[in-house]
Amino acid sequence: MMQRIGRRGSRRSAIIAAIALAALAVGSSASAQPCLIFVHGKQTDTNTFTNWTAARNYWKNGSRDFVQTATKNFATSYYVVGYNGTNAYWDSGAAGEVANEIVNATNGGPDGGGNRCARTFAQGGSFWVIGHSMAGPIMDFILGNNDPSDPNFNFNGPYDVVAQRLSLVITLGGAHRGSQGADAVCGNNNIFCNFIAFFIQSCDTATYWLRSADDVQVRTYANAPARNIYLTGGYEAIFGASVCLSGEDDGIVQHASQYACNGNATTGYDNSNVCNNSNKQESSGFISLDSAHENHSDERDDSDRDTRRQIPGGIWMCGGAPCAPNTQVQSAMSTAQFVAILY
Amino acid sequence: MVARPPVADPRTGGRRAAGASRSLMPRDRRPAAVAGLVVLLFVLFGLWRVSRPMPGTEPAAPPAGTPRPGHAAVGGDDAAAARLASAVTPTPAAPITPAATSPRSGADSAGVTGGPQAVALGRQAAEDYRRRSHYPPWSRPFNEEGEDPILRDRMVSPVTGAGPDGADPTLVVFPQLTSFEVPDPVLLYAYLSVNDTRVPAAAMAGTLLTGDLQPLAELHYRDDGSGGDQVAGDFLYTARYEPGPDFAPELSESFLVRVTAETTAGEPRTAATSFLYSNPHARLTGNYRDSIVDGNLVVDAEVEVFQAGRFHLEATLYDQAGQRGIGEGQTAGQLSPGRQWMRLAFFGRLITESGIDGPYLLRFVALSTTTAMPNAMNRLEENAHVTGAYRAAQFSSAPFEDPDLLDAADRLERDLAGP
Repeated sequence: MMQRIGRRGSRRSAIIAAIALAALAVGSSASAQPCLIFVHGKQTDTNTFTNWTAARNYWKNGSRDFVQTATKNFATSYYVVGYNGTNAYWDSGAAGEVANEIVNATNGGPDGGGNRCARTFAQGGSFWVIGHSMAGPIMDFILGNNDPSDPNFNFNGPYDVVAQRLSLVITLGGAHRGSQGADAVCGNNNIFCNFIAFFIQSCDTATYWLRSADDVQVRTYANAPARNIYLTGGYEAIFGASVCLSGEDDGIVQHASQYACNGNATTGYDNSNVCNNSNKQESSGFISLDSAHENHSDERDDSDRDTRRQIPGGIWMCGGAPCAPNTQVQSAMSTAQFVAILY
Repeated sequence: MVARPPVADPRTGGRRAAGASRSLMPRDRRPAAVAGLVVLLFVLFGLWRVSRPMPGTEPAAPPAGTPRPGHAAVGGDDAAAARLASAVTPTPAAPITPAATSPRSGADSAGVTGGPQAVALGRQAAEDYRRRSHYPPWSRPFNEEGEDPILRDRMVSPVTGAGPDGADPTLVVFPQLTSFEVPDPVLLYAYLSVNDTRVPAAAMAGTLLTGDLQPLAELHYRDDGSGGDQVAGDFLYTARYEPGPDFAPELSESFLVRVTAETTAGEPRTAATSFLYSNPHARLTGNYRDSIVDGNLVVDAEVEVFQAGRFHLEATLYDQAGQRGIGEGQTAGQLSPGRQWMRLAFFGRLITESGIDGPYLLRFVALSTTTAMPNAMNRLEENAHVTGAYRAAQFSSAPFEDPDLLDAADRLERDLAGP
């Protein structure tokens, strides 16, 4: 009897140990990935701020879903931010709300849909922000004002905590240097341009602060970002709209802005000559990834699995060396799929 | 009853039912076998769990990249889409490799054996953070091109407006400066361009509007060498706006300028630019003093504060001739009214790395009032101060070791290492 109890006890110990080991193995395999935090772009109403489902739907197009693809079918934990996309990028409803939500995500708090990051910052988690369009200048403003010596330190939110906790940011068609689409709308020149009304309908506050004039540019009010901002964008023109933009563009944002170039925000660049990593809007922290044959809408909804091309300073390697600019590096990959192979 | 999965027989390379080996097992090794099975079951359960949506998330859909019936990938053939689908279908339990493997590209792609691959972002970022951790956020080197960051931030970008289908001539509009300071006049420029060459306009006029688009004044652009226009007949049209004493904003305000041109063919062109009109709450007095503190070059700049608030001061440091840039320094803080000193520090390592001996030149100095947005920018001070004749060797070469950047690098590297 004692022998049977002893054997049962040792068996139970072995089982418990096995369960613990297995749980540990599974847990760590899932937790070695960053939590992805999604930040949408400009809006023509406040829906994404007042209704989380609208913020979530920003990333969908029919059955295609950027979040699902970028998180590898939801295997990676994620959090979807909703903010007031009609505010200026630096406003409390924009940068302030985004900063607070990022901190909530890193604390393990839920987004409006109940999604949480798998590990908190205190548990050793890492966090990547994936931002589209206006999320570019919002993140530039937050991460460029995270230190007490910065001009707008913690202007309307815990920017210092955000910077401490993020690992990096990836922007998709980011309006880092503004948008010539916004220029046209605020200049009454949009009769020739036919912009996608979903993004820019009128010269509202957000549009005013997304122009390419320098007095509204984020670089005027922020320093180099405390964490790297990686830049991918689109070069699929939109009929009508793209004639109002210089060089390659995604129908809303010109290359000079998507790739955070220094100098003139309206310089016409293409995939061969867009600014490299030594010629960005700040001295450090902006790094080019690549360019996709997607328009501004495609970039955020996984709807167009198309060609991707290398750009100067881009991320693609050919035979151990950086691919030459404008080399086609993929024939059918969306930006959502691209994000999924980066971690 | 859970069916046991088949297991591989390493001796034969074939498969057989797990139960088939049971009778061959010595009785005293059964606990270990049970434990092994439990481990296997939990691993399989774990893999299954990881591949499902997290609680509270959405139901699983077809794997990423899977082409849908009747929906060809735009710009690419279905076969390519299918190849991609298999390559990017998630494998959650697989370790993260140093270079994120990407699928092979199409036949017209790089043409390099193995196909283009995307560099692992985490590794790249971690390396960059370790390099950047050598400098504090309050004093950093210029970029690799040696571009002065203060000048870069004050550069003016022209805004353009073309005709239908991008037709020339294109209207180009821009202000003289990003920000004008009270009570300075505002100078605004506009021209029509064909292939980057200025051409004459039949008419050029503008409207000045507030940031909320309320009209303030009509602007008259001229090209006759008067009223702020420097050269008559060069097709660069100038409008000069004298704001007057009542125009001063509380701190700073952005103003929009809508310009309408008429080409010599009678076609209209429109474009808009904007500028900041600043009423700063402090000024630099022109008094500076310098010293070495904790291995860094410290420059105190005296400011006169008119109204309490937050102020930001930045400056760039050069060799005495103003030819070789060394780095930038910045500081910010809340100040009360009156004269006081703001302390800029240039990190010692920047100077030792440059190998440049002093005296050093404070090439550009920019003061801003940052109490609110938009910030009020003072006029740029140039060649503001020359320091004592310090030697580069007098400064510290120790790296800053920014703890937040190093922690960020550690986390990225832990992710790359995997479980």
